Amino acid sequence: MNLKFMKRINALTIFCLALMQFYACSDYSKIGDVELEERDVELAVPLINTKLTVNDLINNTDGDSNVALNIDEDGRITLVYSGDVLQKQKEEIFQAIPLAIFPITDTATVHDVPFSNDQRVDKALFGNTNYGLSMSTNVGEEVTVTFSIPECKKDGQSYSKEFVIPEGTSDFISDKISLKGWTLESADQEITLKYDARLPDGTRIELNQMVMAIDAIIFDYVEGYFGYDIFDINGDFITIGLLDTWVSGGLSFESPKVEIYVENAFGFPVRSKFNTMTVTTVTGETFDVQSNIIDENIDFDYPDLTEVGEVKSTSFQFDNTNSNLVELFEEKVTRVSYDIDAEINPDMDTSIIEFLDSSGYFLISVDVELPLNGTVNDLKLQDTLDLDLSEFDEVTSSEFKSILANDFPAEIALQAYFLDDQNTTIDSLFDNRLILPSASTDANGKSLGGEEQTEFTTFDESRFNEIKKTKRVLMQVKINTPSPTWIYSDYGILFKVGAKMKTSI
Amino acid sequence: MTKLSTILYTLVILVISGLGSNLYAQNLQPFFIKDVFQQSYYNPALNTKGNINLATTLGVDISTNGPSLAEITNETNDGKLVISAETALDNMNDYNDIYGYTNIHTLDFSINTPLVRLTVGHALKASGWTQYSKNLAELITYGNAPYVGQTLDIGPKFDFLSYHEFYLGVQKSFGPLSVGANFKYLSGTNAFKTESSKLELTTSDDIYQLHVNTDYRVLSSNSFVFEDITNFDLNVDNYDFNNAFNGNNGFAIDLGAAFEVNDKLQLSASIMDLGSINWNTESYVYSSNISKSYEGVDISDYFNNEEEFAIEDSLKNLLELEEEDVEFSTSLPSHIYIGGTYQLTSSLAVGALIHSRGSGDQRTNSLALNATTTIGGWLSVGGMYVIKENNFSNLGLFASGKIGPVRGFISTDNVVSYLSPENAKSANIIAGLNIQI
Repeated sequence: MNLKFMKRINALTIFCLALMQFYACSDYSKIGDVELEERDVELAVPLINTKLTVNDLINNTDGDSNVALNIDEDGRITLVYSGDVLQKQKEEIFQAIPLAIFPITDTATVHDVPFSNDQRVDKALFGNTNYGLSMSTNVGEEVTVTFSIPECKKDGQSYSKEFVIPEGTSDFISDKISLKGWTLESADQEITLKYDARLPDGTRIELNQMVMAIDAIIFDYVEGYFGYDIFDINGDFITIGLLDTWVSGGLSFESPKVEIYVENAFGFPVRSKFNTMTVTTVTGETFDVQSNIIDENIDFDYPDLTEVGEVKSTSFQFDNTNSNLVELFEEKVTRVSYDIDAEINPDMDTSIIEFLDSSGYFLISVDVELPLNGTVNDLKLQDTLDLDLSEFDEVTSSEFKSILANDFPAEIALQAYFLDDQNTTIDSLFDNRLILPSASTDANGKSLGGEEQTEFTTFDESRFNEIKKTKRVLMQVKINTPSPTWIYSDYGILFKVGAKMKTSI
Repeated sequence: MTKLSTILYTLVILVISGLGSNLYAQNLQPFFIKDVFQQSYYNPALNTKGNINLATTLGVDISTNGPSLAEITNETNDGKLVISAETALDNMNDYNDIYGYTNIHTLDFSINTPLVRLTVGHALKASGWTQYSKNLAELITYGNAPYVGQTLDIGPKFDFLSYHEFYLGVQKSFGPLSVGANFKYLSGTNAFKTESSKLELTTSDDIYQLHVNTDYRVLSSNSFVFEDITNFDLNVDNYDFNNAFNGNNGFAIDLGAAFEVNDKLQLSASIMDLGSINWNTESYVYSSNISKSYEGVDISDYFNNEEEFAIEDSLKNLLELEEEDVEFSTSLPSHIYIGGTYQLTSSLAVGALIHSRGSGDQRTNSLALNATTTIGGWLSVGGMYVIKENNFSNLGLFASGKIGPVRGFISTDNVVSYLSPENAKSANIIAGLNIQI
């Protein structure tokens, strides 16, 4: 800007005055000499107008953030850091049986149902399962074939299907036939495939060859016993961003928690199996979480046969009563890592009649809950903002007016440093670190709100010329609480800055 | 971060166009110069002399009710004039008007036929008016910092138009009564006019939050190009041929009558420039109707992204103008003249003329009293006292000489401005040539 712009105003002003004088003045020599007196222009503009809330301070504005605020009815805040939700569907636990070929070598052929040895299927409702028949004969006449599966039933009737091999046909392949809705009931885990082939005159014959092919055996519902197994839920970790800007100082929470929540729609017993549970601190050290939950594991609730379609939930938590979390979080935890498996039928009790259906799933989620109730000792946090002051190239001096108020029942010392492109400190916004006293509290320890504090900082020409090199501002706060205190959702730091900037034109 | 330029642009933008406009008004003296064709510029019925007339005329005028040059400048020890903002503001009214007018008759031709007297001619005309507030001048001079906690009224007003005029005139005398009319085709070249001009800036005493309250609406044709508040251009031109005959058509009429009461007294009345122009080339309306604040940047928005902390865009948005294509019509500033002359002796005449000029609420009135003497049959000189609104110090002079069929004249309504130019609040000159056969 600027100067060129203001010179344009000056030139236009001179032009107009000269024009007036041209018509009115007899002494033209003066006209040509008209100049504009140099003057100082001072502009007042607002720069920053923010009330920094807890939400801002925990970096929750990022859409990818894994943190949420839980605010109780009294307004007290708990930070909840969430890991990814891990979920297992029915197909991952009870996988479909791929293409199966069953030769039918006689008019009645018995095959084993292809389940694992330690599994017992009492009842299985076919889902999207299709079969086809391949038949060969050399009689040259039309042949009527009745195909049946006695163990496959619906409404009390066994499965039966009639096929016609046209006259003169030696090799016949049927269309795909669906078994969906038919139930396989076989106490001895066997299936009988029968056929009855007759000529037009009723004479029964044997086919030269007959084969049944099933594309994939899929059950919508299975009842029985599914055996012992361990499902790998996969490890994961939860990032605790609260201390991303930590520099130094201590922070302790009264009751940090790791909450584990399980949903189970499968009708069989599942037990937790903790492989690892650790925390990582700001210094990069890793510590094991110690708890009897890890040693003894937890049985997850599950629906019984009378509760098919229902979802049972189980939750448990690591806290200050059953773990060393309080001590671990004093080390300023930045990450909680875990690796949990699910143990199916851990007691191998075959007397349990289990089930799974097509909508069954198993879900586990892990949250770290940090109730903001604790003590802060000389905790220093800092963050940077990009700021280019080179655009104020015509400002000769300025006066910053800062208005601040601290709602927190904690003393906060505040400073903003101007950094150049090498991150070297050029100057600071306040001559000395600005101390915002702890807000006064009521009998319950809740803040009554901060009082506004106004500060003026003057930058003369030489000082302002220096901070024009600014490329970043380093915001630094130092926090102290005298005793454990709760943080409420309406707490914040009011931070307003305006500037009067002077330039000569 | 913002540039100072943005802020200043935002605060002073519209006054520049006022300073850059060509601003003129009108000289009344030729009305009293006998036997010149240019009398018909004031009343088409006064075109009564000669069988053939050729004429050309240049007239320019500027006046203000604001400070004079002396009231905005200081003289330095070495005799230079320096514009002093402090001096200017001390002498400024709360609201200050500047009027202006140009009238260039490139050529007029008139012939007396047996039936009527016919005239054709071409002229370039431009007129402008602007009003600026003392608040605006203060803001430009000192910035807004001295006015923290105050609301400044900074919306300037404008009314500028320029056009080409082609006319056909007829005049007929019926004994002592003479009547005349001019029928004009107009080709507009530039228009720039505020319809509403509310523009208030409040600077809070907290952290200097800016609040803008606007109801601003400006019409433009071939004049204003606006991209954003930091990128605009205003170009109004009194002598624009580029935009002539490219739309912007208009029509106007002049009507007049004169009556010879006796061989000494003549009375006349006329209404001139009764018409309008329809603007349809590059014609836009720029408007802002907001009550909006800029409170500063919420820095929490910047904690989790890589964006640079910036306030420039917000300041720009504070005073955006919306552009819309429109056709619009502007009336010409019409003129009403009522006057008379009385021949006291064979060489001395006196006269009076009432002039009302303008349109809508921008009408100005003046009264001119004249005395003219003829010396040796070829030289006329005259003096005139003009009372304008709030301005009683206008003493005019003219001189007119004749060589054969050619008569030339030069005149000003305010000779005082030449004697004390620094204190002048109006200045004008009109000069013309007339060949009369």
